[in-house]
Amino acid sequence: MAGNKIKLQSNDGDTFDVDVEIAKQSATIKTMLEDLGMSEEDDVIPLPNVNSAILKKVIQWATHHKDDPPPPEDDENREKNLSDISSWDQDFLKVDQGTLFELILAANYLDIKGLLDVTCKTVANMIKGRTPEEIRRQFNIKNDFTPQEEEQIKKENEWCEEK
Amino acid sequence: MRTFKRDRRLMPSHSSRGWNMASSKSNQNRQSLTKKTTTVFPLPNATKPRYRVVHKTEINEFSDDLILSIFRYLSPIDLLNVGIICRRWHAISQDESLWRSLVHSYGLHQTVSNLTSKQLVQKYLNRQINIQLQKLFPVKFDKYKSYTGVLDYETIFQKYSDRFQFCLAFCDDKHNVIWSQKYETIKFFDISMSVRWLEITMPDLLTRIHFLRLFVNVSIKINTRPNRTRLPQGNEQLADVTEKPIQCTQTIQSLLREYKFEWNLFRTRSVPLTKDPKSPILISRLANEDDLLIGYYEKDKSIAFVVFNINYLSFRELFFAGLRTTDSTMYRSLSNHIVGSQFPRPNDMEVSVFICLRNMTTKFLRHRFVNCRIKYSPSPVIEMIRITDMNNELGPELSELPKFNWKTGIFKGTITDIFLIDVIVLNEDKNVSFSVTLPATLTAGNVGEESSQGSDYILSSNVWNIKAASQCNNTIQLNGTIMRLDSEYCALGRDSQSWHLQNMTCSF
Repeated sequence: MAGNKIKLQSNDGDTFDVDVEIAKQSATIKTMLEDLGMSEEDDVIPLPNVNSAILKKVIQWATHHKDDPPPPEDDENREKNLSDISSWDQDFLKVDQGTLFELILAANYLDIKGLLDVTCKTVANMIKGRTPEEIRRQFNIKNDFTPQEEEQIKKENEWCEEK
Repeated sequence: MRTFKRDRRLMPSHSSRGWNMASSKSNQNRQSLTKKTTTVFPLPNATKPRYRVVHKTEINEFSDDLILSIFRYLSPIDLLNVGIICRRWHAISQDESLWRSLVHSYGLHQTVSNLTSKQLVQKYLNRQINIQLQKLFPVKFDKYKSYTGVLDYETIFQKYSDRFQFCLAFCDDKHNVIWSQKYETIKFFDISMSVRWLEITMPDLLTRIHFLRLFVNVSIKINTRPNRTRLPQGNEQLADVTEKPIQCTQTIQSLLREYKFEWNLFRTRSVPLTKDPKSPILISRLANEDDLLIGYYEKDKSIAFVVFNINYLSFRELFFAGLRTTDSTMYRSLSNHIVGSQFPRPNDMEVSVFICLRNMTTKFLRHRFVNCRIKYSPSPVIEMIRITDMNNELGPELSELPKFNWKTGIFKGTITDIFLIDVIVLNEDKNVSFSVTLPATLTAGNVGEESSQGSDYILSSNVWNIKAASQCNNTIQLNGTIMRLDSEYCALGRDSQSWHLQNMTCSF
């Protein structure tokens, strides 16, 4: 099947020709191709949750990573090193926050584990070491705690000196 | 539009069935599909069907699972932190699997305990931090010493200068604090809210920093019972003070924010003291308006910082005039300039000395001694003779008296902890030749009938002895007397005319 192409269609109507092997990094597409037998070249796979810009990015990522070994399955023991993002990925993810979130949603929907990992890591890096106020500003989140509740949580989190 | 998008995201499995239909349709007539989309979901401003109003995706549109998969990359400290963001994040951050995997990665699952995973991790964290702190600084900073920086800081900085380029000590009511820095970033150890390190990036220019003091503003609530006849017992005194917490956590937090050292801002905002644009001394006003960050660049691009609280330096004009003309060609650090350089030689007959007795927030007494005499002796001694009351001459009036009520006179607890004495010596050219902040103790003098009570009630006496000595190497000592000249009980500071410093000597 190497060299075969399929067509992916974004929700705004653009179609992209993609190598099957590349597209199969998406577990969603892989399942579909295998379970539903959609292997014909003429078939167009519509991706109603992904727009052209994002789909283009996703294909770009998948093309670059087509020869990567499959990521390990077990979540619990996964190496949680935040800094091991390859420089290519770092450059690739130098996008605005909205795009980054769209990429996460797309990676989640298409079930591309590698992309989901690296995008989640990028977001985690945006949280790491920041003050809550900075995080709220960064992600445009409203603080919906009452002052009392907030105080309570802070108290619980507090470091205690050992006597 | 938005709900529509979200609904679809929530049911990805559904859509796969829908795809077949959609794909066959689109095969037949892709054009009509596009059109159809726009008719079903018309957008107000969409003149061209292909363009949508851009909706910026927010993180809270993510499903809980997705947010959780981001949280899985966070350290326990960051996890505690995200719990304060909002209700939803708080709920997600409590997820047992998150903490359980941390318990495993720290190898804590072997300990038998009825604590939850989160509590286990927190406990572990606590212990680690305490160990780390002890390793870092074997000396326990107490809030007062770290403030003045006199806890033999030079030794500490020297000792750690190979490990850290920079040390910063500050304190909160827990008597512990610290911080220090390594390599390219400055890290604060912030324990006031949740435990974490703050990293601050430093420009390459700053290759070495000697030291920096962070002033901590502490407001102390003091029980001001006017009942002077009742003598509290020793234990009671302490308990009273500790019961009323020293409220400085907030202040420290805000200070931390202020002291984040935006180096670039410092450079653009600071004013050179001389017209020479290459002047090595830069002064920048910090956000709390009262503190100045004085930076001194050295030839080798290293820099020294001193934070000065100008609240009590109300003679700052003179101070800065002195700084301005201070010879800076020697490329010594600013700390050297301010502390102990150009100390007047015995033939510099005329010097001015400023004395300010204060605690962290309040000035109690300020005096300017003019025409001080330097005694000839093996170690130089300045005898301060003529007093000018600084209240009248310089600086704002002391409008606000401390929460500490001098009139009722009861100050219980550790009075020695809160007195600081600032000494600034100007030489005959009005240059700052010396400046130091010392811890001062007040003890009741031995005159007057009330002297027996004096040790408990400092202000019940008419005469108090001030003693101050540097704790670095004990080379600076200051002795003197405060005498109340009128018979009325009056508040020190509010009516400072009636309080006088006498017999002050300063030996070096």
